[in-house]
Formats: sequence, C-alpha cells, structure tokens
Amino acid sequence: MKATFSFWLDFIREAFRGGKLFYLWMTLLTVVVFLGFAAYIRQFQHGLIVSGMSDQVSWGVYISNFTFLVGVAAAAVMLVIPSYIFRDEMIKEVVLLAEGLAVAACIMCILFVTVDLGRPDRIWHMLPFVGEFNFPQSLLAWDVFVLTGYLFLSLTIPYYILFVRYKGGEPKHNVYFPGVLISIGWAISIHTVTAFLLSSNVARPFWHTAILGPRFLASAFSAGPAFFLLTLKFIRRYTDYPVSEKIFQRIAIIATVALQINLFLLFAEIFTEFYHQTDHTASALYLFFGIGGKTALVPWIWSAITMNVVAVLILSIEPLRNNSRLLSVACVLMVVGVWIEKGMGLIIPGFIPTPLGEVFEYSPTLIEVTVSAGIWAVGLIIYTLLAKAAIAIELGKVRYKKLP
Amino acid sequence: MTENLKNNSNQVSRRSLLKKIGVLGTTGAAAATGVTLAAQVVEKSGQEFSDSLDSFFQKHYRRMSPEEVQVTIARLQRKAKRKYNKDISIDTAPPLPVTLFGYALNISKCKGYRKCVDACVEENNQGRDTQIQFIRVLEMERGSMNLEESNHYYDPETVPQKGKFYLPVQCMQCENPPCVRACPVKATWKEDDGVVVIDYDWCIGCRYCMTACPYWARHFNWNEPHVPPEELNPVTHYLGNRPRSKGVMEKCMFCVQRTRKGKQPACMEACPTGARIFGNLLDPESEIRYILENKTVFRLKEDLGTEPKFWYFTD
Amino acid sequence: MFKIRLITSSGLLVFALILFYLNPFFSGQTASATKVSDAAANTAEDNTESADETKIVEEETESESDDSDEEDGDSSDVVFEKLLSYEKYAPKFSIKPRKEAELENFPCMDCHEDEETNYNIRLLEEDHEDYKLEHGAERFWCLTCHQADNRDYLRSLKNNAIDFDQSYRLCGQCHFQRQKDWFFGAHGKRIGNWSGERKLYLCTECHDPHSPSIKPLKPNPPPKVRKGLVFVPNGTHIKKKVWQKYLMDQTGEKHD
Ligand code: SF4
Ligand code: SF4
Repeated sequence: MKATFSFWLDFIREAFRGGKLFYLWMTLLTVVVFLGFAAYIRQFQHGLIVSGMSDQVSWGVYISNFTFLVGVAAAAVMLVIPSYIFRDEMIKEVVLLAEGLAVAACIMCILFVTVDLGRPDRIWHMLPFVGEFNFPQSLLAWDVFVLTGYLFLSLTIPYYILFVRYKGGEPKHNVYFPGVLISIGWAISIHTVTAFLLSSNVARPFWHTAILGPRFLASAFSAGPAFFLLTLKFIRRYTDYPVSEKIFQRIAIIATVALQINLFLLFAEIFTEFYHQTDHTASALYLFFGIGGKTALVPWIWSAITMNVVAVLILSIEPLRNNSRLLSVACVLMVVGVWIEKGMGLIIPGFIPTPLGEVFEYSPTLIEVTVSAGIWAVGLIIYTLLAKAAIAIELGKVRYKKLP
Repeated sequence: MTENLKNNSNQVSRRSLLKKIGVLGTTGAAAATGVTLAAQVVEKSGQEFSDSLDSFFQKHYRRMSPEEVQVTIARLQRKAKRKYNKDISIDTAPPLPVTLFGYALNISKCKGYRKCVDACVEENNQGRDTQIQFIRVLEMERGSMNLEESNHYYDPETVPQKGKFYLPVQCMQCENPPCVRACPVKATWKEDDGVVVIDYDWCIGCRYCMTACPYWARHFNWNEPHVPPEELNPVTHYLGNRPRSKGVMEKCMFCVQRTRKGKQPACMEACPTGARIFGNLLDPESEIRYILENKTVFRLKEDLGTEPKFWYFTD
Repeated sequence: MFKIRLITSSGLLVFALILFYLNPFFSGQTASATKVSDAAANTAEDNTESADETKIVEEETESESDDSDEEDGDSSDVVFEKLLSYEKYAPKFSIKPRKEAELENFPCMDCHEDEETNYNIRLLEEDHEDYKLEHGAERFWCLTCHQADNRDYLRSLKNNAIDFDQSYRLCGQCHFQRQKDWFFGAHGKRIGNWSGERKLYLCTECHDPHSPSIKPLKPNPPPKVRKGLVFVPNGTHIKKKVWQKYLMDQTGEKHD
C-alpha cells in the first residue's frame, strides 16, 4: 500500500520534472488544449452546426482522426509481437514506451468519438445495465467495448512492469506475458473492429469491401511504427534513455513492409474499382478525379499517394534507409500520408456521393480543427508525461526507498 | 400522487420560510410582495431545474412503466409549454393489432410538385431553421434509374419537365433495417406495425445510423430546432412528431400520430395527384395489397437486403 | 324514350329475376326490367347481395324520381346505365359528391328546360364558350357525354343516363383500366383515412372532364442545405444515353 502510494507520488513528480524545454513544450500544448476546449464549449452550446458536417457528410475530421489513431494505438502494441516471437531483446526496451503511446492514442480516440456526439450529456446511455448497450448488434458498441478494454490492458501491463522495477525487482515473465498476448490479440481486434465499423455499411459501397480490414492493419503497421520511431528520435535527443540505432532499423523494416503491403492493397482496391466501373465507383471517382467539377479531395489523395510512394522508395532502398535524416523524412511522409489516406481519403469520400447520388462536399471549420488540435495536444501531453516517468523508472533514477 | 404530496409539502415549507423572512424584514408590504415575486421566480425555475434533472435521468422509452410514461409525458408537455408557450398533446398509442404498414408510390403519377415535402414539415414539426425534410424528390432522367444522375434541387418554372420523371424518397421502414442494427444504444427500433421509430430522448447523436441507412432517410438536428409557435402542430406522438432537441436524429416515421388512428400520413393527404397509397399489408382487401399483387412494382436498392416496405409502381 | 316504372313489391322483383334467368340476352332495352337486370347482373351468383344491390338501385331511382317530381311535375323518365363489372368486386366505397356542391350551373335543366336542343356539332359561342374541349382528339362534343333530353344527367355510349355523381361510370367506358385501378385504390385519391369508411374523389375532382390532363405547376421550393453551409450546384454528370452515343458516332457531331 505504502509502496503504491509512493510509486504514484514519484511517478507524478518525475512526470512533471523537467528543463526549460520541457516546460516550454508543455506550456505550448496546454495553450492548444485550452484553445481546443474553448472551441468545444462553443460547439457544446450551439450544437454540431459549428462544424462543417451536414446530413450529406455526417462524419468529418473527428472520425477521420479517430480511425487514424485507432491504428496508432493498435500498432504500438504490435511492436511487441516481434519482440516476443523473435525473442528480440532490443525492441523489448522500447515496448513500455509503445504502450504509453497506445494509452495516449486510446484516450485521444475516446475523446474524438465523444466530441463527435450530438448529445455528449447522454453518453451514459452506453453503459451496460444502466443504459442500453446494443452489444453484439452494433459495431459501434463493439468499438467502444474493445477500445476501453484495450485502454485498460495498456494501462495495467506497463503499470505492473514499472511498479516491480520501481520496487527494484524484475517483472515476472509468467505474470505479464499472458497479458501481453491478450493485448496483442486485442490490438488486432480494435483495428479490425474499426474497419468493420465502416465496411459493414451496405449503404456505403466505398467502404463495403472485405479488403478494408487488412488495409487498416497494414496502414496501422506502417503509420504507427513510423510515428513511434519519430517519438523515439525525439526521446533519444532530449533524454538519457539509450535507444540503439538498431531499434530504429528494426522498426523501420516493420514499417516498410507494412507500407508496401498497404500500397499493394490500395492498388488492388483501385484496380477493382476502376477496371469495370459500376455505380459503386462513384466515391472512388470523386476521390481521385472529382465529380461534376467538385474536386475538394483530389489534391489530398494524390499528395497522400505521392508521400507514401516516396516514403516507400526511401525505405526500400537500404542506403537511403540507413541515413538517419532520410529515415525521419520518410517517417513524417508516411505518417502524414496514411493520416490523409485514412481520414480525408477514406472516411469522407465514403459519404460522397450520398446514397441518393448527391455530390456534396465537406471541409472542416476552424472550430473542428481547433478541437482536433486540442485533442492531439491532450494526447501528446499524456504521452510526454507517461514516457518521462517511465523512462525515469526504467533508468533506475527513481526507486522505492523503504523508510527506515 | 406522491409527486403532488411532495410538491405540497415543498410549498408549505417554503411558505413558512417566507413568513419568517417577512417577519424578519418587516419594512412594509412592498418588500413582502417583492419577496413573493422572487419566490415565484424561484419556484418556477426550481421546477425547470428539477425537470432538466429528470430529463437527464430519463429512461429508455421501452423500459418505462406506464406511470413513468405519464410522468415523462407531463414533463415533456411542460417543456414544450416553456419553449413554445403552447399546450401540446403527446400520444403514446401503441401499434394497432394485426397491422403492418406499407407504402406504395406511383411514379407515373408523381409530377414533382413537392407538396408532400412541405406538408410533412408542417405536420411533423421539423425545425424551420434546421431545414430538415424527410422527403427528397429526385428529378430523374428518363431512360435511366441512376440516382447519381438525379437532381435534388430542381426548380424550373413548372414541373413535370420534359424528359424527366420524379422519384420521391423517404424512410423505407425497412423490414431488415441496417440503421437499427447500427445504433449503439438501441435508441431506434422497429415497432410491431413495422415502423422504425426513434426515442429522441435516448439518442446520443453518434450518427452511425445515418451512415448505415442506404436511403439517406435519416436527418440530424445540427442545432436547436425552432418552429414558430403558431406553426407548431400540437397533436403529437412520443415516437412521432413531438418537438425535438438539438443533437438528435430524426426521420420519417409514417406519421404514427396520424396513422395509428386510421388517418393517412400527411404526405399522402397532401399529394394532389393521388400518387401515394398507404395501408395495411396484412389486410388482403387493402389498396396497397391490390397494388402489390396486381401492379408491376419495384423497390429501391432491393439488392441490399433491407426489405423496404416502400414500393414504387407505374400505371 | 324509355320509361322507368318503380318496382315496389318484392313479388315483382322475384318475377323479374326469373325473367332474367330465362333470357340471358335480356339487355337494358325494355324499360320495366332494366334496373332489375342491372342489379341481378351485379351479383348473379349471390342472392342476398343481389337483393341488397337492388335496394340501392331502388333507393337511388326513388330519390331521383322524387327530385324530378318536384322539378318537372311529371314522373321521372331516366334509364340508368348498368353497373360496370369491377365495381361489384371492389371494396366498398362512397364518393365525395360534386353535383350539388361544386357544379356551378347544376341543375342544368334550370336553363336547358326552355331551350330547344340543337343537335348540330358546333363551336359554342353564347354559353359555355369558356369550355375548351381538349379531350378525345376531336371525336367528342357536348352530347357525347351529356344527355340531350335531360341535361341533369350524363349519357353513356348506349344513351343511358349516368348521374353526375357517378361520372366514373362514364369515364370507365374508355378508361376501363384506370377505372379498375380506381375501384381498387391504385388510381385516384382516397380521402382522409387509410382504414375505416372508404371515401373517394370522383375522377372529375382532379381531371377537368373537358381537358383532363393534369396541368404543370410551379414546384414547391427546392431543399436548402444545412444552415451555415453554402449550396454549390452540381456540374452535370448525366451520362449520354446509349442511342445518343451512337448518333454521335455516325454523324460525327453531338446530339444532345
Ligand atoms: S430507410 Fe433508412 S432509416 Fe428507414 S428503416 Fe431503412 S435504413 Fe432505417
Ligand atoms: S444517432 Fe441516435 S439513433 Fe442514430 S445510431 Fe446514434 S444514438 Fe442511435
């Protein structure tokens, strides 16, 4: 009991201790959070009318970010797979950080879904027993279920490991390994469920394809590790945490293979849509070329594809990949590319044209963008704090001191 | 009953409190009136406060006991009174026995006047500023059934236009409704008379049902809907046209407030060409059964397996 | 000129029924049996119903002859057109009467009583000159559908009388498919309810019999986009029809 208390105390103390740069970073994020919060208050008062969404395009950047972040959350833990299957000790070092990223991404996901609700005051209706949880029927219910479960898992496993380390012991393999196995399965499931959430809609032919699930996993496996790799670079530069060059290479390879598969799946999708065009091609047509002079998404998707192709070229050629600068560039390209491909390039065109054939465009409003930025800032704050404290404990800087 | 008692005791205690205040501050009759007025204000806003607290905890419609339904209806009526200063009735009539509603629409008769669209808005109290319309009339190219070539916003001097036909679309009350399956909180369901309804007080506004509907039949209150009080239709149904609030979903529910009493839906009554025929699919004598059994009918997107209970036919 | 005689005793009715069965070719030529054959033809297979129907016809004729008694002072002399076949199978209905309520000039005999009937087909210049006959592609004129001798009635092709409030029987002579649909509810308009008493609009409620096509109208305003958003009209993405494509290919120019 005492140990737990002291753990939390030290954890928090460690999380908030830092240099000038740290405080600058945190202040910046906090300002963004407040801006986002103010924007959200406005949305809460006036309703979702302050967004750019309409009956025609009823989901926008919120859900786009949500699908992207589910990928990040899932991918973080999937890094664990090689580390256990291939007994890869190197990756093990950073798995804790990955779990931290998963937690942050999960929380962001939940926040994004919440701000998207028309009646956030009624969110308790989703609680089982108290409310009406339409469980195995509704895929949204499934999504809520797997996301909370995943959040729980990614909190408890690192907590156990850190806590044991904190007390100066070695975490027992038998204790956390089953948990890790479950969370690996769970990680796959959160992303699959999110893909099914979209692909189950017969009303939206653009999503209604069996390839969506695999595509989601592939893109998550590429963007997630890429994002993680970037944060690792950041950590290596600004903390004492030793991240070996080999880890970067390992993660880069995972991301490369995933991105190659992702591009292949995208190509398969495009081929099927366009070889013999049906009425169901309309969304793809709109996305890639525009319909009836409406072309809002065309620059987005082509830039996403360009970014992904450039990234995959850099990553596939070994000398280029070994160049640390280029690797960072590739990762940034990959993250942004996948973010567009999964948000602007997947969620929004699913709604255009509407099931009644109306081409109605969507562009996010300032309020939506601010709220989204606020949520990203919340996520980054959480990740920063978790990572800082975890690093301190891992490095043995803080240890439980038994009071005399 | 208990409600009343509680209210009474509240009033009594408040009154005695007032008396004390009055005694304490004996400065004159003016002060007393002031206090009474203030007390009235407090009482009123107190009611409002407890109402909003109760609506926060309002149960799912299908879980309410009959007494709870009564209490809820009374509260909703008070709410409507506050907002529109008008007394409305809120019906809770259940589905009629041995009744399954269906609709048939004669596209050779539809001329694209959009009379049904506006009649529906007036009947069903859609917010006038939110511009929600349950019915979309599509101007279609003759010789094609491609919805992507349709024009939703046609506005020529006169209709029908040459080379066009008109296809009104609204909620099809699918027998196998994807929207119902989508809803994470069971805020929408299919009633025994086949009508898919929404509990506007249970919906959390996630809009997943909207994504799932293949007929673009669902509409969302992006802001607080307003109806000019003089235009508010005071005859409402809990699952039908009662006033809605912001952030919830709504859609055509075959005018349950009318049809469960044997009346025609507003769109059918308003249609000047008699293109719309509504009736009971379980009654072999009904007009709709005659049409389904004797005319050439089709349904929109039948390949999706939604089993719409809305048929189109031609002469 | 055919005469109507009222049948009041049921004995006569039975007699007429027997008469009907004896002579299957009995048509509405002889006055005394017309109405009976009417009724009997309606439900030859069902005796009780045929009795009901007969009564209705009796009532109708009775009241009509009452009217004419008041008006002309002599007994009525109108022979009614037979009930048309589908009417008897269709679900029961009543109609919203128009004769008294909506026909401005009714009763027509108020004027036509004193006028000589002019059988010549001509353009009307003095009265009713505002009626444009856009019906039947110039095969019709007034006396195609209006009784020459008793203008208070319409006229069937067999020159039998049809009440203005039963005008569907007249229209159905040509538009029999529409009429069938109307009886069964696939055409026309039911008033007010979907269950309970079935009350229908007459054909003439919506179709001006002299110019029956439905006239174009200004449509109600188009839908608006959600408040706060701007409507951007769609560019056209209507595909070329197959035949249009072919025409274009052959002549080398566009045919839209
Ligand atoms: S038409 Fe749409 S809203 Fe109506 S029942 Fe079917 S899926 Fe649901
Ligand atoms: S918007 Fe309302 S009715 Fe539709 S799925 Fe969400 S909670 Fe259910």
